[in-house]
Amino acid sequence: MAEFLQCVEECIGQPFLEHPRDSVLVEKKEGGEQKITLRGGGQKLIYSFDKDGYNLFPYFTKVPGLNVIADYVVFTKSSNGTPYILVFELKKSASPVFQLLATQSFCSFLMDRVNLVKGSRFKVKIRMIGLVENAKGSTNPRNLFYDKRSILTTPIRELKLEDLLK
Amino acid sequence: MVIALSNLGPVKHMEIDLSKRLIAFMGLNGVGKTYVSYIIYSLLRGFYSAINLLQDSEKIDEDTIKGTLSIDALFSCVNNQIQAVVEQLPQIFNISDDDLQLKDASISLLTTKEELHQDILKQEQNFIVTDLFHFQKNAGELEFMIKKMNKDEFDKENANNISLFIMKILVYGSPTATILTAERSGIYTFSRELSLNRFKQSSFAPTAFQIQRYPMPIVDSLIEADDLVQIKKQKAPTADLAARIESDILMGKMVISSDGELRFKTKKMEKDIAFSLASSAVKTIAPIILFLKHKTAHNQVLIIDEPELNLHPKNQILLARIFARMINANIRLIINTHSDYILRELNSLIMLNSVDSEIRKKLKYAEDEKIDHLKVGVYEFNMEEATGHGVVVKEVPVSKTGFDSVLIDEVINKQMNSAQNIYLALGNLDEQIEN
Repeated sequence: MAEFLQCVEECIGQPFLEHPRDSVLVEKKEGGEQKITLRGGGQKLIYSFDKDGYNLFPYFTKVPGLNVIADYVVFTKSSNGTPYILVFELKKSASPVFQLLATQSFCSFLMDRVNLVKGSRFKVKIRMIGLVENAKGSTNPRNLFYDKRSILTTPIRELKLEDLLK
Repeated sequence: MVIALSNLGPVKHMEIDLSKRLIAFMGLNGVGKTYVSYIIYSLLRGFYSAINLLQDSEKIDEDTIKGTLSIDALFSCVNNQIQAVVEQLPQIFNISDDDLQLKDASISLLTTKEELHQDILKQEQNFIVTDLFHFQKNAGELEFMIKKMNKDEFDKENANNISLFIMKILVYGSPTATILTAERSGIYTFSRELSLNRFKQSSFAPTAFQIQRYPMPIVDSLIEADDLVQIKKQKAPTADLAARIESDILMGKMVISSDGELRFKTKKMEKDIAFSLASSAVKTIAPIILFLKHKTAHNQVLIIDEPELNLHPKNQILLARIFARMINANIRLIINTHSDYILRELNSLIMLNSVDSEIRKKLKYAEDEKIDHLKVGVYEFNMEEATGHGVVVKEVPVSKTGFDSVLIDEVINKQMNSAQNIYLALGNLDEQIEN
């Protein structure tokens, strides 16, 4: 069976692939730039699907919410080889949940299509991370908790990738 | 020194290492954290002891005796004091003798005699406790030399009191403890009205609180609040930490008037104001300032119930940093807290200990704000899952990356998730997508 990251890279267009400098991703938002730093972890592919000049969902109408996508989608593997998709949404104060859930459904569709095309059976764990500037964090930054929907909300903008693979 | 407490109010069982410089209790309300801190306070406060550690001493001259301390006698003295605390529990908590809450309570020493001996011999230096008490380690033995203050000094009762003092110095590292109960704001605000001079008796006397109306730690605090004229005369080596709290948190100074009245003077005001007119933060912080200005001594124990009371989160964080400075200034601190701000900052200060000093400076933390994780003990009080009643106390592991506060983190996450779900349920997608 082909390798997870290789299959993903072959299926998703290069224009969406990010090559962050020093692991820092910069997102231009209303109200200024927001940054996240993703440190450590093994090999990974970082995608941003919200690109100027590309309409990701041309078949949708303009009903609010249909064309939504989160800021970054990271494909990676844990140390024991489990494939993961990490979805990141950066916010100053509001809830990131809608963008995260919308992107979760997009990622599920994407992996179904990759498995179908590549004849693979990757069982991917999708984890969603809302980076909300004024959220209240846990009492120790090493403790990152996903809720029942696999959503984690944290004010921390510099994260170790391996801490998120659970 | 490790002690075990059993059947103490809601607490079924816990073991606690009293040698840590910082001990933090966390947990829900009504799970016995204050009970446990009262017990620790009582152990360090001490009761009348019938054991004389000076029995085998020899007279050097009229004013001085010397001898070798018997570890057997010292160990008996510790156990004797623990049993004295158990016997005095109704008085300590001001409840009736047959109160079911404490009927089966027990306290026991888990440290063995040999461990106690080794602990004492391991201690940093020879002790010169005061001009009157000298201890010297010699070939595994502990030699002492004691000078008398007056001609009655070595009579039987005083010898017992001196023995208790010696035991507390050697075993607990401190001859006494100070407790700042959750009532501290009221105690210092109404100290004159509650004037309790009539309770003032020898701290070792068994009758000291026969007529009390409150638990013993509160009575002791009332007596102290009523004695500020005397307290004012004592100068402590940690006055600089008190000054830091005054300037950074209170933006003013605590003043004790010549007749023992506590007053507050802000930076902007020319005259000081009555304590009753000061802010709630001033009222709860003032006892900490008095302790740092007038009461600290090497290894002194300070117990603070809910240090976060009345403080804005910014000041809770500043106070946590002061705590680090206090423990690095050889104060031993025991806190009961529900504050995620304090716990989060303590975790940061523990992690800071393993961080390069250049990074520490860049993050604007001082050298003495670092906390060595080996000096920290954390205990979490929780309802017993199986029965839903009774409290189990777990020692929480503390590493270079700090400790977990599971119960508080669960609440933070639950609240955040609820808020997000409510926001999502509003259905205003345009706003959600844009922000």
